[in-house]
Amino acid sequence: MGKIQEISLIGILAAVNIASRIALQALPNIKPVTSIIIISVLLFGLAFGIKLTLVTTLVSNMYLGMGIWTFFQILAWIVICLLTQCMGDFYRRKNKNPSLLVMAVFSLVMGYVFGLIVSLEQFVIGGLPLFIVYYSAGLLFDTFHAVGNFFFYLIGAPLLWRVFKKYRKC
Amino acid sequence: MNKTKKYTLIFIVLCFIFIGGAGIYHTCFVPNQEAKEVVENKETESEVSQQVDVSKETSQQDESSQEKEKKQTSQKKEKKTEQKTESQTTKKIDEDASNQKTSEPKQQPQETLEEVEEESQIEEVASINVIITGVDGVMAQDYVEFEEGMSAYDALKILADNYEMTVKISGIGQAVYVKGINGLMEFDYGGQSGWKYKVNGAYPSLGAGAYILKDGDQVEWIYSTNG
Repeated sequence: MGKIQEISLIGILAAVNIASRIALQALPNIKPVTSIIIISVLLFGLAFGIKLTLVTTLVSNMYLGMGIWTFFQILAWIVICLLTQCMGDFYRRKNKNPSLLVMAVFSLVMGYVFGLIVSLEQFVIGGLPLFIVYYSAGLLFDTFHAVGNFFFYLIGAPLLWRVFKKYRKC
Repeated sequence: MNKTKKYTLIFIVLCFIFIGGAGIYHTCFVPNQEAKEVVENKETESEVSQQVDVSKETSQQDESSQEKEKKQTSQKKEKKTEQKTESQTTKKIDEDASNQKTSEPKQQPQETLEEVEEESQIEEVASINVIITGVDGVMAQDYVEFEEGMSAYDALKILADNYEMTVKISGIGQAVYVKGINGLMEFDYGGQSGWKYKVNGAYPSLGAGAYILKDGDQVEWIYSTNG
């Protein structure tokens, strides 16, 4: 995939991410961003996923509010990219396409991983008690995130798979 | 392994090391209040030991110096009793007083000197005044022995244990929240009612488990019916 195509792809996917994040502001934590990042890492590789994460987070936080949490969100999404790439390699070695349901459950689990890493911000600020309080208070929102991920993956994966068939890295 | 993967893995591991280090630092070494307190306590302890040594040396001298010291310590004692009008200090004083009386009959000036010395020593190690005020007035009031690093909740717990009152809480450590004392629970008198605490007459902006007390503080637990 050439550089120009990569840049334009990052632009389009980041625009979808940012617009959906801002449009769905009112619904707490229900956003297709994580699902799209997982799908794009499966399609295009780890480096692409990291670039997409950076653009999405920086630009959407300019609108929604920038703070120390930005770094932790980027870190969380990079961890998710790495784990997805490991899953992709596992499937590539078996020479199969990733099954839809397994990856949907995987994105469910990634919702909780995201919540854990973003709560680590409180660990840095105030120590263990603050982290425990914040994380346990946020588990409800992590559940929203995970369920949202699941459904967005089921909706998005077949569509994007077919759309980007030409540029797929597998 | 892929080069990109390797770099991201290194980046993530470094970040987690930083986060873990900062978190553990903030968990173990709580800055500002506790550090100052430790320094102050060490200073007061050294002062107390110096005074005790001085008083013991001078008590071995002749009667004139004993009398002078008796006057000094009695003056000190008067000052201290003025400052602490209701000194039910601890059980220690009662025990020491009874030990003094049951020990061998010493010369009277020496005995009173030692009593006064021990009392002044105990009063300097001093205590926290804890008052619990319910809806109909004071439920309990007593002096609690001061320990380094004790929080406002610890003081309440010790007093409640002494008076056999139950304290209902939620949360642990620095995030503890007092729901009820001796059966008087929050929300019993409306949606805004609950327990608040003051230290030296002012409401701190910390939770009861997080506020570290200093020697000689006065802690009041007040049941508020309007938020």
